[in-house]
Amino acid sequence: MTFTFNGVAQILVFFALLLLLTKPLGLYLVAVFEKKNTWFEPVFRPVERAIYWACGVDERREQGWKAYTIGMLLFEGAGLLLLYLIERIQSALPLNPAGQTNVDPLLSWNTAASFTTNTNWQNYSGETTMSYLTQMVGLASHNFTSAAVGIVLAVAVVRGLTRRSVQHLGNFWVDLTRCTLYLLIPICLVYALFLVWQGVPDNFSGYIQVTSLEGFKQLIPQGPVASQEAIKMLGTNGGGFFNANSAYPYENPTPFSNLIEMLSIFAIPAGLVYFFGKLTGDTKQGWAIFSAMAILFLVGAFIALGAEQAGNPQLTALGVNQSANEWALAQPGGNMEGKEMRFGIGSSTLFATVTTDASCGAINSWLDSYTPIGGMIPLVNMELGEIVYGGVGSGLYGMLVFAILAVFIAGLMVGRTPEYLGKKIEQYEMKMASLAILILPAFALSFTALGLVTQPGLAAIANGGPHGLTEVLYAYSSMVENNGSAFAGLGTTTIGNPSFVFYNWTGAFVMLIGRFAFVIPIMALAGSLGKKNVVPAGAGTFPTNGALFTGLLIGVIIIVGALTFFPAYALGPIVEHLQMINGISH
Amino acid sequence: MSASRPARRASTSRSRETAATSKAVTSPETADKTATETTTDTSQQPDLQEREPFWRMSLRLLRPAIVATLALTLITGIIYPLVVMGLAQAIFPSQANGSIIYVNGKPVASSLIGEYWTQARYFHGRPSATLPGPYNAANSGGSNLGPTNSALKMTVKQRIAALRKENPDVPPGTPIPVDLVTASASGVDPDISVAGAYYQIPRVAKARHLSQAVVTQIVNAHIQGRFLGVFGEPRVNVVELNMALDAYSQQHAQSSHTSLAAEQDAPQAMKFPQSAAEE
Repeated sequence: MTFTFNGVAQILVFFALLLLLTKPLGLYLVAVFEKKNTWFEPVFRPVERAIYWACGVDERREQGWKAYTIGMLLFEGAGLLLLYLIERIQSALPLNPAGQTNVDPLLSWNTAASFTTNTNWQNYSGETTMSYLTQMVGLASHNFTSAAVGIVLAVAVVRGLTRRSVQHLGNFWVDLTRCTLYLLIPICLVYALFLVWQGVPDNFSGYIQVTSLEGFKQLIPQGPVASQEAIKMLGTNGGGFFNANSAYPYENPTPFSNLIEMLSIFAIPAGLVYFFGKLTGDTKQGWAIFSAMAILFLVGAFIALGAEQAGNPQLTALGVNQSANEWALAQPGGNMEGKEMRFGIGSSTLFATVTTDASCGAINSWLDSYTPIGGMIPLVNMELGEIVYGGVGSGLYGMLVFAILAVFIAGLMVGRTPEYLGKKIEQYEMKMASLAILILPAFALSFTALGLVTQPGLAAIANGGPHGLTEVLYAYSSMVENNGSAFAGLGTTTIGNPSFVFYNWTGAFVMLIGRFAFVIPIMALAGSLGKKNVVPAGAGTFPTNGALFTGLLIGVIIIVGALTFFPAYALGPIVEHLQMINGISH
Repeated sequence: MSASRPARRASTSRSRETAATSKAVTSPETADKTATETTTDTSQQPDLQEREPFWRMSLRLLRPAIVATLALTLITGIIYPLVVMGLAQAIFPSQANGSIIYVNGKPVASSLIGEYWTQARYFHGRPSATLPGPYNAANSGGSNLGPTNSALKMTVKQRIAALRKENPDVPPGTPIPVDLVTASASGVDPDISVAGAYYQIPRVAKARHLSQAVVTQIVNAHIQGRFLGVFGEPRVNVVELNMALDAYSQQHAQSSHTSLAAEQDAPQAMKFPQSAAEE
């Protein structure tokens, strides 16, 4: 582990900025979802009404958890089909200056599932596969809707926890529309223009051919990048316009844009935690959960920084200088394979930590080339359930399930019926919470095992030794958790070969499971809790708004995560680390 | 209109079920009385369809699902990107069109996208792992070689040998900056580290018949610092540096009295038509 003063400063300043953003965004979320006036009513209120009218929806009528969930599923289903269709006929549609052909059927299906579930796993390279129209109408719009769906599900779950003796959790159509119009679009408009200012292009021109001073020709792709980049980060989607994602200078041109991209990943998830506290009537409830997230985030960020800054001893042995040379400002040092110069180590490892703590999955450096421990942090972040701020919405509802598990365990310790926010946690709630917690690791691990014992699964592995195991484990963890980042050496992109078929089919399946099979039990849980009345707090009530609860919550998360995944880590990154420091290569 | 029919049917079924379940569940009015201020206002009628069969609920929700999909696709997939593009083109036309640098009316580079350099008189960028050739901006990517992959070791070893061969005047024992022998993430990284630039100064100065002090000054003038002194890394943009060098050499050739002050004009000078591209 090696730490530079600057690397540490980057993490701390970033965290301070996040803290500043949390409360204002949380309060704004309250305005959006509790239907208070926002600044944008004069512009968007007529649009909002028109949508309800066209949908035949009465905006004052709320729904129970079943109607809310079924509405969500139907909406996602319709969007998935529309995206599939656009991909399949893109060559016949306008805005295709690079002449992209129709997308392969299986790849279209995988991509449709991927963008619908907010995963944005990409078995293709954007600049060689998708037309501008597909990027814009197909992919960018899914970045919005999948983010909005995640957010409104979290809002419904919070309502279930905080309302008393009610059937209704809100109206899905109203929440969805308001989230898109009042939250996502206004922020993205400003954000996209900021990105353009920094250098992100936004145009419909064809790819530009330049001839360098030495006479080399280079074809530079263009497109409506900035508008998609904004929602890609803000909605924790992560699907890059270009193959190199946020490492590509056109997606992330400067350290400034990189900072804002990282902040925008965490902004809404952190704001939602404050929103939760506000709705419980005790903001300390929110801050207790926020603190647990903050600690898990900071620990991960520091370990990733230390591991990558230390560099690869096998390269040092060849005579490469990986020391930071910090005070001369001459070079960042560290493990620079697969990293960009403008980001160096600090801005790369912080980005990698943030993108996997949340379910974003955008990358600004290739995780496959990280040192074993540096690359293990993103893996662990995802496998803990992406609850460290987490995906927009999914992070909060995932964390609340852990909160329920934590009070249950505390209840077992003192022999008392557990309560959370005054609601009794009983058999049904525990069944649903356990189901939600177990579904993700069960699918991640069993499909990793499948990948490791079948020929098409193994054939895709790019790096030998334990690193290969990590590639497959990372892939299924990322897809099940709806992250979308990758140990991208894994060869899943050659259309037609057996690995392509294997990973596209299994991938689409586990992404859908990871999104919907996870959220349905949680919605059932929210519906059940909403019906309960509140028990007044007594002397034996375990307080969930203080440091003791924060500590217990972290303990529960780590125990569940470690018990589930430690054997896999031991076979992958941990053994690889030992091999790396002992000079073994494959 | 046919579209209003499902909604009406749904509302009748809803009222019937409200009556049927009124004993089982707390009625909305009492619920709202006991509720905290966080619940929505009392005029709202909750949609109590707990007992509604699954298929009927799905059918009822199908219309809003389809309409909302189309409406939101229109707003977020067409209107929003077009508004962004219109504003971007009006306010930041250069960036919105790719930050392309033109020399003599011809595009020679984007200031954000690295190019492939081979001649001794130019500074070279970082290794690129794009396919089929290096610095392919239309097929970006990194090597994805893992830290214990023997191919990584072998590649780095070859790069070190090539680097030493290209730069024979570098004093032996000078440490090799890591960015010069590792592939970037995008494959089109426009920057190198300050150490990476300094390492190449003896070669570039010799090829251009300039003193190392002059080249060092030009390099120093092109160091971009961290954002707010904290974020990112100090770096040198290779394309801009090489253009400034060409401009300096050009001026130097025109007047043998060129002082170091001339490099201040370098950014302007690069717009002049003379460049190596015409060779």
